[in-house]
Amino acid sequence: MHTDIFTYFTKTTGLTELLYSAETWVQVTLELETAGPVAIGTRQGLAPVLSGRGVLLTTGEDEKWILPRGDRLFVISESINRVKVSIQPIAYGEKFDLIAQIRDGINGTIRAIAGLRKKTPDKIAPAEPPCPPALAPPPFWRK
Amino acid sequence: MLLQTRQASNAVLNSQEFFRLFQQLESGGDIYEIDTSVKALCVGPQSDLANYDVFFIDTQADDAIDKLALSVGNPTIGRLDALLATQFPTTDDLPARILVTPRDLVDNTFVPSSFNSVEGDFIAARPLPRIDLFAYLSDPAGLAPLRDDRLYSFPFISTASPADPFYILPYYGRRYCHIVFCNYADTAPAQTYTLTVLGINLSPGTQSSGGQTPGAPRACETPLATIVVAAGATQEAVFTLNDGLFDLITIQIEGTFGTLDPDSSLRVTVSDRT
Repeated sequence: MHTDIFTYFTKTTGLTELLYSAETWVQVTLELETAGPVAIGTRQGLAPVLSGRGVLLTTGEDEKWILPRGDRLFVISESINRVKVSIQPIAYGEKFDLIAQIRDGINGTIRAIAGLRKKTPDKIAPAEPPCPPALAPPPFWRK
Repeated sequence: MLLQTRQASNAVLNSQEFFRLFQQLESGGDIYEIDTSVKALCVGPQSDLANYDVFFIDTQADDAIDKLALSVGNPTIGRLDALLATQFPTTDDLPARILVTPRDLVDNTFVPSSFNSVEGDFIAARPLPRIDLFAYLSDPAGLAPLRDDRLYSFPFISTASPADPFYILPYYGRRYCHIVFCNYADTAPAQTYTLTVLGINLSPGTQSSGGQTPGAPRACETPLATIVVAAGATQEAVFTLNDGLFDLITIQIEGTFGTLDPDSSLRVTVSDRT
């Protein structure tokens, strides 16, 4: 993992281009240095640039996004522009994600157990669950 | 269309903050393009023209082309888009760039009515007007309100009467003109010079008979001053906004003798400031 910093020059084709494909969890910071219009989005179809399918960058202002692994960032423009790009990896981003999943799972189990206890009134032993017929003991007159 | 010597896209590639369109005009029909979007447009400090028309794409306008006027002291602030993958809805389907044309009339072949080619009159100096526009690629910190003063200096003037030199100078939108003539021709026979100064306003020409093509711009000539400068003397003249607004200033220099004496000088300063 390493930080990547470069200037991206947009193309004039008006076609959606791939700006970055995240192989790990990263924070992407973009700053438009020229007039634009330049649109950014996570969808492959952003055309036309002023359609609103993407988000227009504002000249001179930083825009930050966190991309999980596997996400992609697309860009579109119809004139040549300069975009400052900074890609910073998020350390242990995947492990934090796994921990979050485990935490969510534990929380779900706790809620389920708490729900079971609430269905039973206090100070009364829970009733024995009924036996299925196949397992019922034979009548005393049978041997 | 004139060969444009500078491109806005190169300014972006060179990490510049603005694109300067600065070159000589060939004719009043010149069209210049800006192939990137801009955040502001203003007339540059060395522009000889005062007024421009700017065309850009606007889907709400007729034919999706809108026009705005750009003039000295009246910049445009706001994003104008160049959408090269979008086309103007014309028959040629041209890409939607920003286009700039002079709004002032330009005639680089104009000569005053007193010009007599039979006597040998000649154009001693005709500086071609220059276009100077600043197209800001990012938000500008400030915009220059007026143009720089421009000095036209012509040393070593001589005449060979009856052939008179003419000086035709751009004056578009200027509000002050200072003319100084120094007659150094005091060696016998001493030469007296007479300067005739005219203010010229160009107007669209008439259509040629039977055709649809307009003729060359016509000129309205306004006499401003006749200055007689004796040998060894210096004379000056000042014209301000009260004397009128002109497109050109012409200065005709007549000598009294048919001799060449290249010892005199003419200085003309034009300014936007009153």
